[in-house]
Amino acid sequence: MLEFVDVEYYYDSDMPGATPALRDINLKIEDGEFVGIIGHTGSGKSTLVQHMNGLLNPTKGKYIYDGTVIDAKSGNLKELRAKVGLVFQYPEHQLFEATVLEDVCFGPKNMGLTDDECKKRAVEALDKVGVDAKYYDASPFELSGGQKRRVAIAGVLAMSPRVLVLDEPTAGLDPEGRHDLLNMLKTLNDEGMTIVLVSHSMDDVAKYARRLVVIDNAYIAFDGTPTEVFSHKSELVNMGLNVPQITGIMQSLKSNGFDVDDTLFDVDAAAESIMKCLDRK
Amino acid sequence: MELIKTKDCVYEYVKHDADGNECGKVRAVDGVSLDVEQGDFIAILGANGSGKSTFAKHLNAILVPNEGSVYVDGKLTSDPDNVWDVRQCTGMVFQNPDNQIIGQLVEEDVGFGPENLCVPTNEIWQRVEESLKAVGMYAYRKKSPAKLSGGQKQRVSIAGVLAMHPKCIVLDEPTAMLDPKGRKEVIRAARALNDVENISIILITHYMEEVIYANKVFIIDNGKVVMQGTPKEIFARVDELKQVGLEVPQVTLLAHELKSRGLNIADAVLTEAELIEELKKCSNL
Repeated sequence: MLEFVDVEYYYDSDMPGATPALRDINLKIEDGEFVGIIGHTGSGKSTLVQHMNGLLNPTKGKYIYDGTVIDAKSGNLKELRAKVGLVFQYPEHQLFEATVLEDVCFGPKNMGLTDDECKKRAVEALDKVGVDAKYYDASPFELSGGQKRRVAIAGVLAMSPRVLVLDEPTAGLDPEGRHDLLNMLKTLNDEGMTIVLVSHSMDDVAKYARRLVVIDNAYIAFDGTPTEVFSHKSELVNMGLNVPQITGIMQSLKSNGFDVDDTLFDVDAAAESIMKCLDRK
Repeated sequence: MELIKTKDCVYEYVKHDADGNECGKVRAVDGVSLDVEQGDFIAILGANGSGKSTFAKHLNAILVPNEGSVYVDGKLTSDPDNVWDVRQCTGMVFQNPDNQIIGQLVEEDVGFGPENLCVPTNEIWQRVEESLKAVGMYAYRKKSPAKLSGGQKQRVSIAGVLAMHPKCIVLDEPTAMLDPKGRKEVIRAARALNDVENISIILITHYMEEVIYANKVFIIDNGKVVMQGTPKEIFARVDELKQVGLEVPQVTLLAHELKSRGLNIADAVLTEAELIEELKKCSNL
């Protein structure tokens, strides 16, 4: 379980007029959750998730993982990073080895595992992200954008984390690549892994996350199910966000006199609701 | 005359193995012929690795074709003497704003292009002012680009291209890294330049709902143009789009679903307003 207690974070705490990048953060994420984090650029989302594996430590307050308070002094960061894997934006920029397999082995090697164990884990991870064995000896730089990103994610999965945190993993992917990646996260979550997904796509978080945390100007603005959060359309738009496209359409239909369910974000469910509404007339 | 004319454009690159030896060729662009008129708003769609960005780089002579030809404003891009004219005619904006902004202040960044073109100082300032006003960023002219949001940075990048007085702007996934508000700002700026200044826009994107404003859409797959038409024509072909890894806007998909459930709805509904109109007809509201 991840827990933030009254966390405040400053990038420039010793500067006059310093502004916090995070303020009053109280957040608990239980094992097995699938949490979406949304917020405008500069809201503090990336700062928040970089606390999760100890890349940043709170200026004030506490970040606790499984009962252990995490800070730079206690020296428990290595253990934390084996349990909480962080996938950065554009993770494919971090690929560097000569072959796909070696690249994925890099993380487990750093954990001090034997070569055989590293390879076993790398093969498992590549299998999970759907990269075929025929690519193992290829240079990661010859792969397509979607494949590179999957290899980069495999590099984190090979460390067998219990929590996988991803910062905008779908940016720049085509629709098919995006769906494949999100479905893979869903499978990992079904198998028990905690997933924290930072995204600018309201449609994606609505469809995949079971809980949404909205960050606005360093604060948590909303924390609830997608249905609850997306019922606050005007507040979200003021924060530079929006509701999923389908929810927006349903809300407009409702204000135009159609008696439809305006909390839906799934195309099929929306179509059902519209058909029902028309049948009643 | 067309502003841009590409004829059977082919681009191949040589693959190297780990030891640097040649090991085959990849045909990234495979015979693309495409015309752009002054004032066109063109969208190019395609899966990752389809060759759309490689093709786009031919439109301002970052790359030149191995076979076929590309003319920009009547000038052949593969003639090295034409490169400056071609690049002044067609400006490019890329995906990551942080890789394109170099100035300490917004106005300095926008002035960089015209300065390189040896425009007189007074005129540079005039162009900076006009360009920043055109994208709604004039109020930020004295700010550091580092303090701006993603959408604002991208609009500064567009202003930087605009200050070079191009006839055409190519935007290669300009919204991929932006939040919903930033995406709206950038698309609105591109549409305004097209509407008001009659600048041709070529937009490459993975967001289907950004395509509905285009007057022509080209779908590229494996280096070839596989579909072209108006957004309405293209988005009526839901299943074909799926085959090349693409999709239709959510509102179009919803209308398609309703139609398949028996509602009498027009093909390829592209906007929320259109869908509401169609449903009103169905329900006599």
